[in-house]
Amino acid sequence: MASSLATMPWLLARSPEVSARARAARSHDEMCAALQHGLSGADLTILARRIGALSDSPWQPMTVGLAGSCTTQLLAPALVASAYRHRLNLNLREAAFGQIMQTVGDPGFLAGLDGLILHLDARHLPGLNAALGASHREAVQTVEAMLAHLEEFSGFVILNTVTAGPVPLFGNLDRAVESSGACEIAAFNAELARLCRGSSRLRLFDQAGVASLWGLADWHDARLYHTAKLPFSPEALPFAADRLAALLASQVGLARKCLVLDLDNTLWGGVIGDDGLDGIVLGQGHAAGEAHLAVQRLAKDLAARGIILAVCSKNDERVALSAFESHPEMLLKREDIACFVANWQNKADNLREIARRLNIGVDALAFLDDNPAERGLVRDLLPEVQVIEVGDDPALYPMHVALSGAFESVAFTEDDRSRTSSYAADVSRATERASAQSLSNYLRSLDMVLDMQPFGAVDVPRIAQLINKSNQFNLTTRRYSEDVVARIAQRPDLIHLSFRLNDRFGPSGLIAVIIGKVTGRSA
Amino acid sequence: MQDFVNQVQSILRDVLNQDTLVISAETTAKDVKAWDSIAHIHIMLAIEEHFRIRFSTAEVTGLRNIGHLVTVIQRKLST
Repeated sequence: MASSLATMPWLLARSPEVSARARAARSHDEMCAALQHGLSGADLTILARRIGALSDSPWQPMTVGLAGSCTTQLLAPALVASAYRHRLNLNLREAAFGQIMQTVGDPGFLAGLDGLILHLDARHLPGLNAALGASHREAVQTVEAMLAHLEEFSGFVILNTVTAGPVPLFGNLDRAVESSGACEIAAFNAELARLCRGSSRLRLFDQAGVASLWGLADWHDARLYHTAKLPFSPEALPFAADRLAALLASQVGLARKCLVLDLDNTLWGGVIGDDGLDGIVLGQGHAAGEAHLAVQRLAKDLAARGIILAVCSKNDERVALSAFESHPEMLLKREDIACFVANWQNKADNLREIARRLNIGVDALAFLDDNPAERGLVRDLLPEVQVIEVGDDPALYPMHVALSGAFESVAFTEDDRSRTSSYAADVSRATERASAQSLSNYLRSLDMVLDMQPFGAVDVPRIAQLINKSNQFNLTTRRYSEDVVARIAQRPDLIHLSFRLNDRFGPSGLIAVIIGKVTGRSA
Repeated sequence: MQDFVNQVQSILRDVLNQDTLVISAETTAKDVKAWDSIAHIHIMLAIEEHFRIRFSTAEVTGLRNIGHLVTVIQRKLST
């Protein structure tokens, strides 16, 4: 019945004491501390009520509607509590059971919502509720009909991929028979992903992926579907709710931007200061060495998709760098790391320094370190940092980083691809600035060129990303979804300009946006 | 029987967050505050986890009172 993900091992463990503290939590800080742990569905339900009663939460508020074809009443409180873990103060407006079509056609329900979750189920989508003679086209048409009602809805819409039950009609052949339930569900899910890819406000909750991670046979509970129309086993609720909460948080730019990596026993086995360059365990032919390589591979892949990498190590800087420069098995190179900090100071201070040098908030950091003492120190001194819990087996580190939700994303833009190099260039600029004789000399030496354009269709995701992620420098603090940005570009009564900056260190990408309304002309 | 009733009482206290709840073999769901259909699911799952048993579809909602529940638990534990 239980999946190995039931304990959510990238979070701190649950114990009777932890559960009691979670249930007694009344303040924002107490709730955040409790949510660092993997909590049960019952714990989350109680926390959700307390969250609703908080009057002074510093977390960003969000109001979202939830309508589903199965029972959503267990998902709702788990989602509210899990959202709080991802720094979102979620207010859910629940539709009555099985009322998706009524909900999308109800302007009264939709008024004031930032977004709407339509919780789909294969058993309730025409065309998919058959083991043979299934047709994904009918199901897609049903979803398109739902979306047609939502054309005037200004918020985001979350749709989920669906799962077949653990009842293969043929066995292995289900995958090969077109019009089998399994094939048609896969086709429906692919169509859904395509719909979401082409839209600036449709977001995909990959429930099929979540169920697969959990284990499909454990995900489904036929008894509880028959008894209470529960879409999946309540044991999977804390995990599923956390995955959906991460999506909601990333929708408003709350995902982390930077992964800070420890070195010893994280990126390689052993302690380089003691074991020397030749003594660290890294590389092919050695099980632990392969495991550490996989950690490096994940970090490199994260950098390729726009996550900034930093190093924070208790080591002599030269010794730490020697691995990056000389060890033949190192996958990560020095230039993959936007900010490299190796010294003997405490890691909380170093993390603050890393955030400062990268010019991002401390709350944009996620931290991976094999040492529980270091993790504990950072949790205590810098609660804004997301500390990923791990055990002592590096083979599991990549999964913990990935499932932590730290780097959940709703878009993948050109600027994301080149982010590490642009942050590294920033660190170069900072070094240059420190050695320049005056600010004006420094600025002149950069040879900056600013290119100004009206909004182009291809820039819409980046423009929306900038508007939603900027805080201090969003002067009106208005947030616009991609959909709204695309519409702004079409309006003749509005001025819309985007600015790209280049200097001798490289491109900074699209860094500024102006939107204005023409109210009249001066003579 | 009473030992099992006490264990079920602990579980109910935990799931329903009612530290002072007292039940007997005659208690039904209707007698207990906040034991609605959603809480019932949480309770049955907690009982399954605690005793390492599994209720059938019919048993999940077909039990008359705590005494009946305990009888079913005991039967499952003895097989």
